[in-house]
Amino acid sequence: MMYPVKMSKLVLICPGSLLEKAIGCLHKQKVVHIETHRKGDLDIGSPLPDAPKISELLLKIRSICASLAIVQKDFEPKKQEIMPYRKLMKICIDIEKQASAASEELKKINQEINDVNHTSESIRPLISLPLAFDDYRGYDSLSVFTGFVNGHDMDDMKNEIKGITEKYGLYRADHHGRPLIALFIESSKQGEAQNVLSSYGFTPIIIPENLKGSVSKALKSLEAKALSLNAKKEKTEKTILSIKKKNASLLVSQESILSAEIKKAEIPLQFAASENVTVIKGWVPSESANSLRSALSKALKGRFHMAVEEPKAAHDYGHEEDPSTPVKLSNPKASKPFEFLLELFNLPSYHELDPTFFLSIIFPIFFGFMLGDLGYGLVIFLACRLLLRKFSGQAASIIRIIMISAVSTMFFGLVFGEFFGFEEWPHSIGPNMCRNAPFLCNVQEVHAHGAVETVYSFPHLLSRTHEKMSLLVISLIIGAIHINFSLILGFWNIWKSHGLKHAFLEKISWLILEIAVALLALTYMGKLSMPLFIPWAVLAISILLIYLGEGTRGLVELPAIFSNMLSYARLMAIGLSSVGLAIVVNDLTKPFFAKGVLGVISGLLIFAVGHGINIGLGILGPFLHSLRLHYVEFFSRFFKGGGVKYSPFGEESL
Amino acid sequence: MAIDIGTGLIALGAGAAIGLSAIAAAIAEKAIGTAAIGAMAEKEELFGKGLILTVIPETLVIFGLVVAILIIGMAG
Repeated sequence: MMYPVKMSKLVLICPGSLLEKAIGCLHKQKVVHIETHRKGDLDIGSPLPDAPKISELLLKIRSICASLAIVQKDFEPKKQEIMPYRKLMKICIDIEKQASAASEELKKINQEINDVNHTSESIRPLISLPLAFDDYRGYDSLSVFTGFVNGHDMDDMKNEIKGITEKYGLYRADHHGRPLIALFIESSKQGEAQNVLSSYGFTPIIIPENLKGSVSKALKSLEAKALSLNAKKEKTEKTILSIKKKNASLLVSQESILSAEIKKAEIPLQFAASENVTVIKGWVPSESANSLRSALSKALKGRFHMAVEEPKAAHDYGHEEDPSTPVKLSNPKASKPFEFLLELFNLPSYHELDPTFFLSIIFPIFFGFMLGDLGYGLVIFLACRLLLRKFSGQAASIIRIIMISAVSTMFFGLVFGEFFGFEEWPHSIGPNMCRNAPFLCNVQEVHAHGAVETVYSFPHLLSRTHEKMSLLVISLIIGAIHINFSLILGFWNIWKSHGLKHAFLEKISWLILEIAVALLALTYMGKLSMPLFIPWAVLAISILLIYLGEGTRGLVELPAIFSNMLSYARLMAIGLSSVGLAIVVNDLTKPFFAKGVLGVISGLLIFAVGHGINIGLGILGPFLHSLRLHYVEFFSRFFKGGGVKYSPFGEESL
Repeated sequence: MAIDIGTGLIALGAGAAIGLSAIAAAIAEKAIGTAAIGAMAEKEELFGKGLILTVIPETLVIFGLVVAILIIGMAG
């Protein structure tokens, strides 16, 4: 719980001929974290002979899945046997041929549909003109202009064209409010006509070359063609879907089998190998070493050598011996979700304390202190309970963390006496409540806005809105306790690794600094009477000790410890903001409830939405700030981090 | 609710204390945060160091908050 799982360094030597059996055995055991070998005296091993075939198959299967849009989690992989590679390859090539033929077909049909639609859209306006397709072309002495114009001054345009020449024919029509024209004019006046038309905003319509006959007939035939193409498209899509359904489970299950196989086939690249012998270096949890040895001796019939030893601890400050020892956190079941928070930040290095347990206790306390509302805690708890069924893995860890924090929120809601922002019984129920059930009610005289009024508040220890200063003081005291706790943890860590003198100089010196400043403050404020030189002397001694322990960097950080303590004032600040928002929502809702049924409904709506938003903010804000208080203020005094996550060979990696 | 101008000015002073220090901290953390996220995009392990370095200017806001509270204390 306090430290990561004990690891042992592992060296495994086996002859090259038994390599495949050894890899199979290690993969099944799932306990060895393999250390990649860097090319030094020994060469890097070469992959198993099957590797190229497996990766080719894997590539083909994955490309088929991509082109058919098969997503792994939609299909339950049936328990499949390992197929011989050649047979599987033949099946895959077959599927690929079918799939690519169908998708090519689909692309062609889509293109044709696009063309047909485009053509019919472009010739649709022509239906309002009394002309057939052949009338638009084939002239020697006429130029034809067909297109849309701006509708304002059609008569002016006609006059202008009349001004150019008398030999013209102008057809006008309307298409959905846009006027269009077909102008037939003698070719010699083509340029001038162009100028006139463009001054009226002329946009030409292109007449397709291959269409003949009447416009309406052409449109009808195009629509019929579009229908038949759509039918064809549906058929092709159905074909693709059936290919997908038939083969999806086979492909998905084979893909997962082959992924494991390729990992096994390529793992020798991380081993060291000579001509006849392979050397595997890695780590194994100390408790599993013996079972690993017996499994290996059964698989390899004793023809191997395995050596385990304890990882070396750090001797000199900053000079770690085995820095890459993987870290596997082990914590009681209730603290396990909080390991996610540690993975987010930095895993502890192998030799230092695992702070997950402390995090799992203090984080919910901070969260509850900041949110502190019985109703909100209840809602969040129930919501998390419902969500847990749908998620697993990392998301489940977060949901569990929030669920535990919700319990703490409910507790602090009782301490602060808040329920959805309400701190008191309404005046209609209050007096009866206090008479009949005095434990559910505190009668208080509150000075607000210059008058004294009786308030029937919920039972509480501390009222957040009325006793702000006490809240601030409590937050700062919590900060002081938390930071001193982290100093003690740091003291423990350094004592274990570097000895008592270093630990004393680096951590206890800060405690002495705090005592000195406290003495100084108390003496100046008059609460203590002692000759002034005592606190100053203690201060000087502590500064000297800090300099000896941490050097100049420590001196620069002197005020940091006090500003870090002040940072805990955010416990009060965020709490007050959350309460404030809740009170605002309640004040908004109050007038609605007097106004009849519609008023009650809308009041409930506003209540739900307002408090919903506040709950959302209330999960986000306190979560981030509690986390930040831990990462920065708590961890900076004892946590070094830098641990490598333990990922054993054979386990499915996320 | 009538308050005299002295109290009003004290309130303005407290508001300015925390508001301006918050702006200063935000400007500082903006630059650091941008660099931290850029570094994290290249190397995930730097999240912890990046976070700590980004929130170093928080002390500015905290001192501002303390000053604001002391000023309000002056108002009695």
